[in-house]
Amino acid sequence: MSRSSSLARLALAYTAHQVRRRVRRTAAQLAGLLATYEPDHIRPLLPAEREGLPAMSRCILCGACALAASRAGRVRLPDLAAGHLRSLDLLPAAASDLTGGAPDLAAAAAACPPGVPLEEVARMVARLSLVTAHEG
Amino acid sequence: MTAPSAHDVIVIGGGVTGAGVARDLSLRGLSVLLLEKGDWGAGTSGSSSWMIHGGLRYLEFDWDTTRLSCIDAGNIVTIARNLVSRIAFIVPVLPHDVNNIERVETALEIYDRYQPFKHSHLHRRLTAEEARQVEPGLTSELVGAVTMEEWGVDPHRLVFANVQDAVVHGARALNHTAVTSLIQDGGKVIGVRYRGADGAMSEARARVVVNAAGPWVPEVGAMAGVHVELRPAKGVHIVYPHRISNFSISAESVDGRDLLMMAHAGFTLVGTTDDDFYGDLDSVDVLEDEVDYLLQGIERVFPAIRQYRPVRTTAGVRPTLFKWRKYEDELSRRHEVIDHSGEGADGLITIAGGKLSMYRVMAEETSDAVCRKLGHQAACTTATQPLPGNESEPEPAAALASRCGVPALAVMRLQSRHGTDAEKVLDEGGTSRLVCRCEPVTEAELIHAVRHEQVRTLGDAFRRVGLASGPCAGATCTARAAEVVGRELGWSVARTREEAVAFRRGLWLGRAPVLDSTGWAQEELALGAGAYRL
Repeated sequence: MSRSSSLARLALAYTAHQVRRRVRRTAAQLAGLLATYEPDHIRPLLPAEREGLPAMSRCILCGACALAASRAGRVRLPDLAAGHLRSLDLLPAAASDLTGGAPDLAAAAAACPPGVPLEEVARMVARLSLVTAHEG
Repeated sequence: MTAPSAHDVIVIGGGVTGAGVARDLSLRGLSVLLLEKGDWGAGTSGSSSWMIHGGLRYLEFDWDTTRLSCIDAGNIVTIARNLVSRIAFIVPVLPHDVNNIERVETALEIYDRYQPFKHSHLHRRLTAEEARQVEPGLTSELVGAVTMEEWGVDPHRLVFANVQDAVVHGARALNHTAVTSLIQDGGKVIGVRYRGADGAMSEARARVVVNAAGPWVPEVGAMAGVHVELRPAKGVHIVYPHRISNFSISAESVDGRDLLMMAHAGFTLVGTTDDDFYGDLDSVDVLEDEVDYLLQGIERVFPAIRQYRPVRTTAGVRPTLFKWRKYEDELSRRHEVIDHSGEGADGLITIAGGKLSMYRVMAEETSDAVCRKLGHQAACTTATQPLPGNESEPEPAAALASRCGVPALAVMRLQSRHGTDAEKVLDEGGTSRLVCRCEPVTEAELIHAVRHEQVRTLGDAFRRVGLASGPCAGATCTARAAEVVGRELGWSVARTREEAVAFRRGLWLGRAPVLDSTGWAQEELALGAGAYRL
């Protein structure tokens, strides 16, 4: 197929699209989109998480937080920000890593040189680790 | 020099195409020698956008290319399920964009016809408000958005899976082995001379030699006195060590090109540039201007991008077919199989051009040409034969993690590299200790990579298991990883230190163009911890 033929077909498709848009009302598609990608755990961030993520993702794995607090479940504290926070879509399948443990996150955050807000990290990781009913 | 080895075919170049050719021919029952001067996938393949895509933009030029590209993307997704992940794109539309939302949706309606070939979902149209619910970081100037889907892939593992399967089917595959000359006899190419990883020179003979050296194909062609002309194009990406968003975002650059912010497994890629390249193919630097060009385009739709901390850049050179006068972006990503028998180099076949998404088809066409030349009758099976580790469904990560005493996240990343072979890998070396905590990588996997996956340097380990690819950028794991690899390979203490320093220097070169204040603090920390001195 030549370029001119491709462009002509695109023009035709554009006209058909415009006609369809005029005669047919499009239903809201947000819920459908989220349901489509839920099995792959492709979930949106909340506005507060979006705002906080640049600071949350500044961990340099120095380990200072681990000196100030114990583990979060089976996860050492630096791994929470350096490992688990990296792979947002894998968190539901790795939820067992986060069971148990109650580290002093405020103390750990106070010891962090780049100022990673570890309480926010733990909250976001916990929310995105939730396993939905159909997977349960 | 030892006596020459004899093979049906020698393949030069261990990128995705060369590895694909070696696998294809091995599965057809031919004896193959595959040679790579660096490491598997260390050139153009590893510096790509890490995507198996259908070629939405080819709709403007040739719908058949899009259709064929989608069909083969579907084949790759099927045979390499553990190596791929869905990438859900938001295509935001701003008030003064060249293409209004109706045009964008029209293109995606057409693309939807081909999406089922690659097991992808159809597009959705979102209002500005809905789009900002899906991705709160999008600009408030948005007029709406459309979604689109492609597949992400780990190209390093894709290349190695092809090498691995070729070896399983009888091929010999050598990395860090450079071809120094082609052996000719009366206008026929009959073999190669090569320098092995240990520096020793050897010869190998074959009935056909395949030149699959990517942007280096002119160099290999010149060894046989034939002219292969390319128009090499440099592509730069910025790498962030986290998923900035679960949704990927497309954007328009200042010169109207498409840029992408891609959510891959554990990191985000922003790219790419596309510029004619005339420099040294073995030393491709990233310029700060190129970084700014990419960030400028992305921040128009995702204003906070400069607040995120990148950890490195990648730079590669595409082996684009030569065409005079076209702008770089308009150059076709088509490929060409060239038989040089009419140029006084019978027995030499070159595969030039192409892209990662089409590697399997390129390998099939090249292998068909080889088989025709050899009079060998065997059909290609690579579209349906699973790559290693994809023969069945992997065990749930939590169960394997609990049995082996490692975090479930580490198991998930391991399964994404090894599929159903993950447990076998975890059994290697009798240790479940983590060596790289960001990725995360176990010592067992690193030992397995040295023993069974031809890892000879820490750079090889970066490509094979993702060592030092996370936020610590190698500051924490390099020394320990060097000890583990060195113990397996019998390195002396001095050699272990040299290898670690060389690895860190390589990481530094990729990181320097994007260091921000936290990045510099990290460099200081690494210095303080003695990571450079070791």
